[in-house]
Amino acid sequence: MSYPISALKLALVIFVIKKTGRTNLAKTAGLILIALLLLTINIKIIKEIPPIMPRLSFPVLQAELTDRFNKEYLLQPGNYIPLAIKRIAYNKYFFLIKDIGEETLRFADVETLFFGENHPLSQKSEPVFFWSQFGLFLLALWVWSKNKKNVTDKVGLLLSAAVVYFLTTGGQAYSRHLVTFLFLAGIMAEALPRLLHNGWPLRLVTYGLLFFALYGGLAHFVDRLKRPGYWLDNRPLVYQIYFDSLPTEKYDQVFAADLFGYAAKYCRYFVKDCRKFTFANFQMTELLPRKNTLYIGFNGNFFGVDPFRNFDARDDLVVDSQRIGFIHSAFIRDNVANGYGQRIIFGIRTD
Amino acid sequence: MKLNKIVTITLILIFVGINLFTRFYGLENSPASLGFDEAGLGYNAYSLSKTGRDEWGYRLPLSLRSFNDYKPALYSYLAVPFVRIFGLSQASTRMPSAFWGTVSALFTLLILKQLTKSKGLSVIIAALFVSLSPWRLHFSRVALETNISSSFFVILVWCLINRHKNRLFRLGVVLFGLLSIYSYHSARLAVPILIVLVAIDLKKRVFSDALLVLSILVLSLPIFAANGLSVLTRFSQTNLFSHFYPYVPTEVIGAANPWLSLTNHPLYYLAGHLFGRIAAYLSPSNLSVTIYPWVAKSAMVIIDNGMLGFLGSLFFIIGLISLLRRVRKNANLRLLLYWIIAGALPAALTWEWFHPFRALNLFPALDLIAALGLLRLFRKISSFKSVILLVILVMSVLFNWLNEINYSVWENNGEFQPGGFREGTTLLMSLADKYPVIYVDTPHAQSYIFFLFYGKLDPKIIQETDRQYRLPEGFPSPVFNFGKFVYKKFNWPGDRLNSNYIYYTQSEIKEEEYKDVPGAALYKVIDPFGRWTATIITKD
Repeated sequence: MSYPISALKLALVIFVIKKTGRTNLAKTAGLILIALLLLTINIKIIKEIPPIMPRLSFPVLQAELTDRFNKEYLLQPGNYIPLAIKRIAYNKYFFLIKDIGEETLRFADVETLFFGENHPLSQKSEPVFFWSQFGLFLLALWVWSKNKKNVTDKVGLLLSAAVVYFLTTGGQAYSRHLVTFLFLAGIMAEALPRLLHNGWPLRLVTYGLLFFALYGGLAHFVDRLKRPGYWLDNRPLVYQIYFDSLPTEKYDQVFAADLFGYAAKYCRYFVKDCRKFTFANFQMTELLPRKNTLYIGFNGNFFGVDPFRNFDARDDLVVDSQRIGFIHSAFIRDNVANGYGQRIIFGIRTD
Repeated sequence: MKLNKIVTITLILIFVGINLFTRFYGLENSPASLGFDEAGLGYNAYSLSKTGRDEWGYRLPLSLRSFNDYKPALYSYLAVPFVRIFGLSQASTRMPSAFWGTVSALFTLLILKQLTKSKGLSVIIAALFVSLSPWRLHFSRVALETNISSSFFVILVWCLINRHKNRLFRLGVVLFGLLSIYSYHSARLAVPILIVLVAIDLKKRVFSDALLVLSILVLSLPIFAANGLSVLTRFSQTNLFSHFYPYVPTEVIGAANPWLSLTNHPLYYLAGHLFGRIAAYLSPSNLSVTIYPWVAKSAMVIIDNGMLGFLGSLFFIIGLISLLRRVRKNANLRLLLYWIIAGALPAALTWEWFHPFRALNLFPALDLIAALGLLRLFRKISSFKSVILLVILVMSVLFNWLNEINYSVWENNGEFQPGGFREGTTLLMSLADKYPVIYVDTPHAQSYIFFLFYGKLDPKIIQETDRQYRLPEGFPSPVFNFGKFVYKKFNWPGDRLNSNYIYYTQSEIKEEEYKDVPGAALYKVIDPFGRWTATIITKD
């Protein structure tokens, strides 16, 4: 997804929200319109399938249910439950509600939104809000909940639009949360004057949180100057190594791990003819390597994903067990693909 | 809808009945096998009931030395009656957790009634929904000290709300505060924090509240004295302060003294760590869909559901907003906020981000917030929509239960609940009588506890064992021999020449190698998933 299209989608969402009336029916219609517009752009135009879409299919849900039933029947000894009772919960309709509910809850990911500075999984992305702003957000929620109905309605509609945007958009978290950022910034900005006109304890807390937010900006600015490789998108660097390091003509096929997206576009830039390339996030531990095929990926693609990135001295193990030899590797300063390590590996089947 | 007294009592009895049934049904088979800690608690209960001493031979200890991790002993004492009545089994070991989990559910209902000041049916429905939330079912069906500590904590809160009504409630605060402290480590911090926060908030009867805190601190001294050193050692290994020191990324501060930095001061980063760790427990995605790697590989994991489940987490969001709106004017609702701080803070002081084990005292408060959210929804929507919501609630709690008692058994049978020992040890003990030695070859550390537990071995055998830990060749961690059990790596080419022994091995075996060897017999140990998980080999 490119930035102009993101901007266009954002503009559409804001336009529809602006034009939506105050009645419940109008708001529902507005949200449905937003969903339809976004789905049309995402699926038909930029060909980016939102993660929820494959899970909305009844055959997929049926397969999930069958797997569940099979596993439970195979338990020996298991706990007997009559099928009629099981069917009350194990049915496609409940699983559909559950899947939609779970995908919606991924939206409320506090860590990604507020704790980018010290994410628990070392997920590297530019922090959008600093940690102290989570406190401001809670206070803003408090202010919002006490507001008059017309204000809560407007903010509520923006929140609903943010959820719809998240559900109907695929790709990286930052692109799915585009309207969320707007909502969070908006609700905090609206609450701030009211918080600062409150009693002294709340004023003190608000000033404290504001100070930490500003300090966070300074600390992160310095951090970014000192560690640009850690924070900034190094996709061009990664794909340059992918496509410029080795000649690929002698291979029948090339599998390149598409961890960051848009590998095909970068391929067209670097290689031009990409017909023998397959871009997929392969797991070498789960597949049998093909002959005369080049595999390009990170440590995690060859050894299995490890959120703690303990990929030391495992080369020999894989060479023995997977019949894969490493013909080239390159180390990058940092990699934003969590759990995949920092080494790009070029591997081929050795026998 | 207001209910009369008889209907209310009948509904509460049904509430208790459903909670008891969902926790006790199939306890022997689900989870399929015991975890190491469960086996430790169960066998120590057995040892205490037979000899009045734990497996190390300590008489009526306050802490169980167990795997040198000094578990609080209260769980094992509570398991003694069940082990005496039903014999040592997986079910009897888990029964204290199931029982106190049900008690916790009942007190959650009572607290919810007081928070909402409602006598309606919807309160019982909301309480029933949260009493069958994934985490409550999961932790009530596994023998874990933290679950009973959390149950005592709930009763403590109920007593705390009512403490000014009469002296019995104040006594209840002290009693259940102590029981919570004596059953799990994190309560030693959570209980005093909660009472102090509540006392500071109300600013009345300060002397009486100070007396409560003082009584609890004084009466909890024995547990600190019993294993204070080991707790401090454990804290020094797991605490946030030493783990992340100097808090600022080293590339940012370079060689300079970080405490003198104006732009990247360690205190900013440290506060972020601490604040984030508390916030993690309020993250709806953590409570439902996110499973962290350190959770996935432990007894904490609740497959396909998370702690509150998807519906509970959605209600939690609504409840949190509703709570924020009314919190300033309602002291009982403020107590929920203090509960969150007190429950989350002990866990937030450790290095791991989201760790339900250490924060289990907090989760009943999150349940109550979810229940408030559900009640708010009931009030806001039409009767027709309420019926639809009710149908989804029924599906959801049934899903939680089915998921817990059968599906999770299949999915979470990982390292913390190694399969095969239950089936294998029963077979092993039936064959072992005629052999002077039992060789054991298993990669599992502390596997001795499974042989003691499933073999129901006389506690005197282990009490009299001089545990000389050693690392035999091919073993990943130190082991010790006890009774007839000798740890030794399986090596068939060499072992086939010896005779008169029985082997329990989890090494890979080729059946055809045993067929024509005189006096050798091979028995496969099949776990509940139909997998050949271990082998018993006898050689006459």
